[in-house]
Amino acid sequence: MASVSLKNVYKRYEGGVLAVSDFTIDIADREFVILVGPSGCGKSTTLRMIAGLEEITEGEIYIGDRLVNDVQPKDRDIAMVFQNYALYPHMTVYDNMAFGLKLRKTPKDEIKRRVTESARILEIEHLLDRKPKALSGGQRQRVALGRAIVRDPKVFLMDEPLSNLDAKLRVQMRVEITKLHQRLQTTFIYVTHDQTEAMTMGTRIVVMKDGFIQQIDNPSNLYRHPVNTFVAGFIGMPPMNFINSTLAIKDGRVTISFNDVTITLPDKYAVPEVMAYDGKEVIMGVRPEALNDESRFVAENSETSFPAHVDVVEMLGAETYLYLTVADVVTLTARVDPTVSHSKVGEVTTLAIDGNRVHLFDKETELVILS
Amino acid sequence: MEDLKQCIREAAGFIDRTAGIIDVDGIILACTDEILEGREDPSARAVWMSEEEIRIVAGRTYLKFSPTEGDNLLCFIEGTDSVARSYAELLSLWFTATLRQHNSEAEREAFLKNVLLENELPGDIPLKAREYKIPYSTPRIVYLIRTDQTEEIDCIEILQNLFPDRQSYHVLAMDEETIVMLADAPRDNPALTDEMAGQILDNLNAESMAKIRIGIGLAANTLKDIAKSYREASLALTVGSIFESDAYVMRYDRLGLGRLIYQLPPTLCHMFLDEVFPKGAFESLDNETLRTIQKFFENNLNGSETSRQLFVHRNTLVYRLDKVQKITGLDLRKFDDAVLFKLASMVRKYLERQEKDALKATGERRRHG
Repeated sequence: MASVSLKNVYKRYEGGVLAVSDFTIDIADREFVILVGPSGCGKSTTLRMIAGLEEITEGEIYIGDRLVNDVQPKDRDIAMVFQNYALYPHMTVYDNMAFGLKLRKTPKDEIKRRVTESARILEIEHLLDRKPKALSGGQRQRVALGRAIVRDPKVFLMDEPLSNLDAKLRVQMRVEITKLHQRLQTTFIYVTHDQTEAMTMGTRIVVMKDGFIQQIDNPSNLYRHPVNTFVAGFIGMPPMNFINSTLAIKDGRVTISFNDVTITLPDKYAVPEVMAYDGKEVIMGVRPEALNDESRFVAENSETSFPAHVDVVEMLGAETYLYLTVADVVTLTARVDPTVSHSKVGEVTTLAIDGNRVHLFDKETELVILS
Repeated sequence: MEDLKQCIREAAGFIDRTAGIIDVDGIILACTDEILEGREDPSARAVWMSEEEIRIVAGRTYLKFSPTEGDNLLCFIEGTDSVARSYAELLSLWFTATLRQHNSEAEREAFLKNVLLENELPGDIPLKAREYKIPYSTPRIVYLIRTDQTEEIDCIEILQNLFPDRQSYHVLAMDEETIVMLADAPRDNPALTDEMAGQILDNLNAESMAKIRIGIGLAANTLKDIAKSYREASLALTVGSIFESDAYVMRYDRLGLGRLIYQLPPTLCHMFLDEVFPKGAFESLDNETLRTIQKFFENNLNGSETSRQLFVHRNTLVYRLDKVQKITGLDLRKFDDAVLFKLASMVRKYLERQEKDALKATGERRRHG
């Protein structure tokens, strides 16, 4: 078990393009940190730099108290799990798990102890004599994890380990890995492009874009208080609605106007940092669940209600997605309760925004003003 | 040696006595009791001096055998009875067969390496292939794996276990840092080539923690053609490392413009660069702008898609492209200018690498001279 610290780490490839820029984070011992972002944002490069598989151009990386910049990957006391991590087809589960230790000339008794212990943790003791082809997809994935666990590393590094699995198995393995982290009580650093995976598994999430850290926070704060439009749009499914609007102060209250619609925000928005945008353009961010078409809700929130054309209604069972347009220009998505929603395709419905859940962003910098 | 140890480990599973193999110096090479390995057997000298094939000394039965010409070993087993003698004879036969098979595999590997390095006469290849039972006309692909790891964790062992079918996959150590995997080409699904490269990369990274780069050649239709596939894989690694420095797998059939630029003489490259970029223009482009350009090209000059992928407003993208035009004189929204910029930035990368390599070579010459 160990903490991991990255201090002002940069990765610059030949040709000058920066893959990772000024990456600084302190990951506590036993923490489960997720690096998430779109393809090419530098998350895998960062993980590989921690592993030592990629040289760093600048900065310092510590595992525990040890500076590991010049330490060989094999000496960093880490274990990695990758997307294409295949099992050895002709070996039993036991041999698959023991193979890495045999390569490292670990004594036989120690190998047996570690494999047995890891199999117990992963609940695959009954599979130790089987060969990979006799295992289900989930069991194979657990064996792949077992190969990393037997090394008893201080830190687990996982690079999109679930990307090759089908949707159902991915959900199952998400839970398995979370449980595994609780059982092992070891530091996990996990890379994914899937924001759902990030939100459900991590104790802390690092959102990256273009090699830069955008925000580091716990899932709840990331969702409720994104620092910019990128984080706000990346985290959450369906993504946040962004509406180009004009902010104005009327009678000491904040109003937002877009395409002939004007809504008045609650008093909590009447603060100096928002008031400074009087008469300026802003981006209003509204989560789909903060939009509602329920009659009672609309009546209670008349100051934030407006009409919208219903383009598509997607019934998902527990919830319904409404895809709407306002004045033929602004497109919105609403997540509503199917038991009370009355909207039908082709009709004009009245919606209201939960005024307390509006996010305001600067139009130029795209940084949050208030959320 | 590993083969003998493997045999003796397996023998330990069904022989209830201590057994092992001793070399001509009396050192125990492999033993069912691992603690004895590497130690000198006190009776071995006397057994070697004797002219008898089988000798019983100090409660052990010793049997001399020669697995290959000029190679002499002793097999010993605890006990002096006839069962011990039978076990010794059986074990020596087993060891002999294993070592001969090992030697034949080594010869087979040497033959394949010679074919790859074009050290075999073309006319001899089909004949020797038949001799080593290697199908001549099977389409194969060369995966050239370059690793920084020269010791400890055996990448070859990992690959041999990952692809255990010795008929379809040949793993060959070319030098300390280079491994070739010669694999049957996937017939129906070319995507399997990438999948296999991904497996090689991820497994070697995870198991040996080695830094790996893989070059892939085109499919060779006959064994004679694998030398060409090897050259292609090698070129893919070289060209890829210049133009795709962040990629771990480089395919010869996907080198793109890099393939052309790599052939250009440096003088011509300098002339072209001077023509396209005003002095210091490229250097003054910041990282954010370079990333924007890269994404803009990846999206075929589609501004909406680029701004969406970069999570920036379209006006921000327009502003950045205007800035590039101001600095370089090239309007990347125009196809001709975009092509010029793309080519020039690749030529620039190529020249930078050449200069770096030249500096490295000079440094090495100074060190050695």
